[in-house]
Order: sequence, then C-alpha cells, then structure tokens
Amino acid sequence: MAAPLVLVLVVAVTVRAALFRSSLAEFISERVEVVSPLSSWKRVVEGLSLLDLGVSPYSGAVFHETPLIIYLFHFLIDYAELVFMITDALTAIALYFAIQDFNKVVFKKQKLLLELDQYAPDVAELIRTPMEMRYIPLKVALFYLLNPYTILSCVAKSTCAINNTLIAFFILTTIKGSAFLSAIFLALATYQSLYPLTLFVPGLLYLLQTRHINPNSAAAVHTCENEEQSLLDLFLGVCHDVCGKPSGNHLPLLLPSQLLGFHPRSLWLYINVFFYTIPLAIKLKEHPIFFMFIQIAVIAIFKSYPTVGDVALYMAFFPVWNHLYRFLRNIFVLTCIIIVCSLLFPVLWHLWIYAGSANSNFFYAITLTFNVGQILLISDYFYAFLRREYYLTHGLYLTAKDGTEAMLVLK
Amino acid sequence: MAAAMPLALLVLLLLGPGGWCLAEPPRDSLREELVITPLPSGDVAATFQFRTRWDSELQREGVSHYRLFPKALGQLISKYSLRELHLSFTQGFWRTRYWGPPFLQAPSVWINLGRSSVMSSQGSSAPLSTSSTPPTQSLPLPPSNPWVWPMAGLSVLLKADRLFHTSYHSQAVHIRPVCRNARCTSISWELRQTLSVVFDAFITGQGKKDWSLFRMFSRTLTEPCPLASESRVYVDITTYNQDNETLEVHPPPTTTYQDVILGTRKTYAIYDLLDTAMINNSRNLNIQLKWKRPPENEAPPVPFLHAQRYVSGYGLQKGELSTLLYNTHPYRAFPVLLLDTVPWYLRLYVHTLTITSKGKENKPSYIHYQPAQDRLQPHLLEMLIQLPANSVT
Repeated sequence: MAAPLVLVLVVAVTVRAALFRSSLAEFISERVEVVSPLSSWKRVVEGLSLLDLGVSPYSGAVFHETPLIIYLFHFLIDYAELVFMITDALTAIALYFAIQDFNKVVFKKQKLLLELDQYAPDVAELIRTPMEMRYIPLKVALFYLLNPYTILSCVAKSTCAINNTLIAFFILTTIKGSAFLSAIFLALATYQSLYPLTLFVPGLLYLLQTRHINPNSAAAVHTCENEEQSLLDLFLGVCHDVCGKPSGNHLPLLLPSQLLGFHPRSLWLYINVFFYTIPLAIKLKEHPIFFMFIQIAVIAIFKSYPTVGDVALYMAFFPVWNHLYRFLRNIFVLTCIIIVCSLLFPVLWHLWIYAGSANSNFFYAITLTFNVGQILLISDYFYAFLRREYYLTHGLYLTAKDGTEAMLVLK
Repeated sequence: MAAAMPLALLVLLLLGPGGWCLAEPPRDSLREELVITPLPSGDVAATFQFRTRWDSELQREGVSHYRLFPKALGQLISKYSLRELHLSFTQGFWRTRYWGPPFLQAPSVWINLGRSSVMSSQGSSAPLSTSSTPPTQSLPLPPSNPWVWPMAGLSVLLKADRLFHTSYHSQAVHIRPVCRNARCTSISWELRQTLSVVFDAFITGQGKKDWSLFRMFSRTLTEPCPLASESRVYVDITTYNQDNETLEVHPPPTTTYQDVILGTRKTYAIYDLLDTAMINNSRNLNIQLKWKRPPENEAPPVPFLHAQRYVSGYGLQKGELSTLLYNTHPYRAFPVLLLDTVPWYLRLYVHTLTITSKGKENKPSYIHYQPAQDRLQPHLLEMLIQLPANSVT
C-alpha cells in the first residue's frame, strides 16, 4: 500500500511545483474564491513585514491570522511553497491512515452486528467486504491531492490548507483512539478559526464508542470524557495566554466575522454552523465519523468566508461512502451545478469588476447557487446513509401488507 | 453739587461690575494686501490676502457682536470648540516647472473631486462639511460666506467671471488663535482669507506680456476700504533694472521694498491705497506694467528638491502608487523626511514598498508606518531617506 501512496504524492507535488513556477500562481492567489481575507497569503506577508517595522500586525484591518501563524512563518517565510506542499502531503497521509483504521473499525462493527443478527436476512448485497474496501484509503488520498480545489488552494498559499491539516490530524488521532492528541489538534484547529469546535461532539462520541467496543471499565469512559474536555479547555487557555500575549489581540481572532464588521442580523447565519450540531448528534450518534463528515461540510458551507479549500476537505471523504452511491438521487444534477458554478465564478467576477457590465448580483447569485448545490449534495448523502441503515435493519425488498413493493417516505 | 455726586456714583456703579453690557465690543482690524507677480512663463499671478484680527475670547459664551469677523465662522468656532480651521478650494495645478515655486504654499492634503477641482480641508476637533462642483459653476463657498465684502478696497477686483478664466485658482480660509501678549494670557482670533489666481498671458494680454489691472480684472481700484486699517498692492519688479529699462510700471510707485522671499532677493513696488495722494490723483488706480524690452526667457530656477507622484496599474486589485523625489543639486545629498497619508479606502500593502535610487535599493534610515483602519484613520507613512546628489528616488 505504501508504493501507490508515494506515487500519488509524487504526482501531486509535481503538479503543484509546476504551477508554482508558472505565471498562474500570482493570478490564482488573487482569486476571491480561493483566498479570503482570513486566509490570504498576501496578508500573512503583510503582517510579517508590519512586525518587522515594529508595528503590531493587528493595528490595521489587514491581518487576521493567529500569532501561531506568525511564529511559524517568521522562520519559514523563504520556504513558503515547500511548507504548503508539505501540509497538503501531510493531510493526505493523515487521511490515508485514518481511513485505513476506520475501515477496520467499520468491518469489525459490521461483523459484530452480523453475529448479533441485527441485520435483516436479505441485505447481503449491502454488506461491505474487505475486497471493496481495500483501495478506499488510497482513493481518499488521491481525491484530496488531485482535487483541483486543493491544488488551487495550495498554489495560492491559502492558510486554509493548514487548517485542513490540523483537522485531518484531529481525525487521525481520534480514530487511533488517543484523546490527548486529538484534543491538541482540535484546540489548534479551533484556535485558527472557531468553527472546528463543533467537531468536538463527534470526536467525543467516537472516542466513547471505541472505548465501549474494547472491553474497558465504565469509569475509564467517564475519565476519558472529562480528560478530553479539560484538555481542550486547558489547551485553548494556554494558547490564549502564551500565544496571545505578544499580540494582545487574540480574542477578536476567534470572531473574524465580527472583526470585519458585518451586520448583526447576519450573526444568525454564522451561528448556523453550531445549530446543526445537536440535531445531527441526536440522529447520528451511532455513526460519529459520518457525523464528522457532515459537520465539516456544514462548516464549509456556512462559515463566514468560505473558500474552495474547505470544500476540498469534505470532498476527500466521498470514496469512504461510495457504497451509498446506489441510493444517491441527484448526483448528476449536483455534479453539473458544482462544475458549472466553478467555471462561472471567474467569468462573472471579471464581468463585475473589470468589464463593468455585470454587477454584484450576478456573482452573488453564483455563490448562492454553489452553496445550494453543496447543501443538496450533503442532504443527498445524508438521505442515502439513512436509507441504507433503514434497509440494513428492515430488509432490502420491502413489501407492503398487500404484497406490492413498498415505498419509503422520509419523514 | 450734592446731587451730582450720587449721580456720578450711580454712573460709575453702572459702568463698574455691571458695566460689561455697556463695554465696548472687542476691537477688530482688517488688513488687505494684493501681490502681483509676473511669472517666468509670461503669466501673471495675483495673490489676495485679507487678514482680520479680532480681539475676542470666542470660546466663552455671550459673544454676539460681530463686525468684521463673519458671524457664521465665529459661531462655528464657539460651538465646536475649534482650535484651528484650514479650508481651501483649488482648481488647477500649480505648474512649478513653468512658474517657479508658489507664493503661498499649496495645501498639503489633496482630495480629488470631479473633473478638475480639488479640495483640501483640515480642522482640529471639528466635523467638516464639504462640497464639490464642476469648475464652471459658481464657487462652492463655506457655509458662512465670508467672501461677501462691502464693495470697496481690493475686494472690488474680485469679480467672479474674470476670476474663473484662469489657469490656477485657489482660495483658502485659515483661522487660528494668536497671542496678544508675550505671556499669552489673552488670545485674539486671526482670520486669513487668501485667493491666488494665475492669469493666462494669452487670454489677458492678447499675446503680449503687458498687463494691467483693468485687463486682468476688468475693474480698477477706486477707493480704499473704509473698514481696512491697511490696504496695499505689491508688484514684483525684481527684473527691473534702472540701466536696462526692461519694464515700466505706471503709475510709478512711491516706495519699493526689498526682501528675500523663498531664497531669492525680490523687489516690490508698493501702492498704498490708504495713502490719500495715491487715489486723489486720478479717480481710479489702474496699475500697468509694460515691457520695454522682452525679458530674456529664463527658465525659472529649478528647485533643489521637488517631488512628483503618479498612479499606475488598473482595476481594483492591481494598482501602484509611485512617488518620485528629485534631487537636482549637482554634488550635495539631502536627507529628506517624507510624510505621506493615503486614504483608508486604498488598501496599501507595506511589504510591497520599494525605494530605489539610481537603480539600487535605498534603505531609509527611519520608517514609521501606521496602517489604516477602515473608516477611522488613513495610512500614515513617515520615512527619512537620503537622496543622493543629482538623482531621482
């Protein structure tokens, strides 16, 4: 398994290096779909040069990154391209090993439920086999590295890639079962942008459940929960105190949208991200990794300055749920929406800003359509997942009382 | 006699503590001056300056007696507790290369409004209301309209239609407090209104470089302003040489005045309108200048240091602001402190700042940069740069 992964990594690095050297790099790093005011590389450089001039980087309205990023790039500014290629590679490797372990867990759980006769008798074709799950980790790494969105994000040197790496490592450490490390990575990811905080719930659920599968005492479960919570708080606090002191301005970092002065009514739009956590936790408490996938997608759609880098992270998970393909209803329409919107973004931006013949409504309509497409995609996957679970427990060929084929209605 | 005493006491009592309502209004004085300078390119620059000095404590309540000082400006100062007010409107650019350095410094902060009218305003601790109009319409006046004068004295020359057919037109209002004595226990307010115009030689002189007040302003001076304590016209006759007889000024001046202005020695002919001999001779005073011999077309002395700025790039995302500093001295290098403010709506990135002199990078000795905050404060850049001799930075 290592050789194909290395091959994929080499191809990905080559593609990125080629794009870095070409003239497209500067063009891409200006695109508003790829970089946002919160993740733009130009602003990182600006913050560093303000620091060199002796001015606080947070005194103007330009720099919105965390002090950790300043420390990281203070020494690595000359190797920035290499840093971003390495972060992409690390994300792919983390996802690869995470999904490898997750597949083992899924298979183990499936075997357990089969032995316990929890499944209906005629669902043999829905049962997953190790053969079909063999290449899934590689496909995940491939999906992430060769996704055009990821490549654009890397070439633009958007700090969203660093956030993706931290979330990927959080997923890896959660699946491996280490509460301490997963708390550390979650704290780092939350420190950079507030939204990964919602991933605390699925992470906690997963860790509790895996402790249940392994024969451990109930006391250990509770200590684990407390340990994770306290670690998270401790780490966030430590980050605030230690890293926040040089800037003295750490609190506004956690509320980037407020810092940039948005209208208070739209606060509810950004709280949207947090609204979905509780209902999803209630519905998906048996499937925390799927819950995590949905939550990452919700973050990517509803965060205040979404970019294609966030979209790329949850798109990498599609191979994990490829057994749901037969239940997806709108996949063709959604693919067309996503592709067409991606192509129309630069066109309408050019028409609005440079040609002057369109106005902001056109660009806004395209972003809206893209978001609607993403929402439909996520709800489609959610529906497919629930439908498969229903079939597993109630049987695939359902008949109504009079013998005809039954219709399933989602209520 | 006995009755007169209590009466005198009563009068004294009235004039004493309660006497403030019967006290004299604070003194104010008006001085008006006009300086006419022929420019090296043949154009004529006329600079009016009206100074009103008012010995009054405006910040305190109870001031209601306005005479020479405009009431609206006084109310503005007392309501907003202004310390200083500088407001100027300018149309056109002072062409330093053809005209030499300006007599009155052009304002430092420029905001470009409309086609070619620019406006600059600075006020301390006061909100400012501004307006802009295309240059052919009537001049936008500050709300107080201090430019309406009794039609006497130098203000007779301020006829609007002539004033607008000029290459350069700038008017400014400056208000500041001045100390009345050495210890500055009491202050008086000085209102300085200036108007600078440059008349195009072709329009006024029909190709010849001779000018006269009537040709420029289509009016002549008829009588001095009765409110003014000083009313003078200065004509720059530096190129006048007794032997060569390059020019002739008519009527001949009574006095001349020599001074070093902006580094060069200049001679001025003075016409005092309050001097009764001046006006009595003829009912009107029309100062004329005739060139006997065409003056050598000397280029104005290029100042040692001058600067130029231009904008390049296009669109909202790519733009460049370039400032060129010229040091024309042949062998001496100058350290220059450059202070730059750029409005907040232009997003500047300080990491793209580059300074090059003669092709090599020039590192400033001192940089202070304050980034802009949206809608609150502009960018502020202050640098101490060494300009090498005979170079462009």
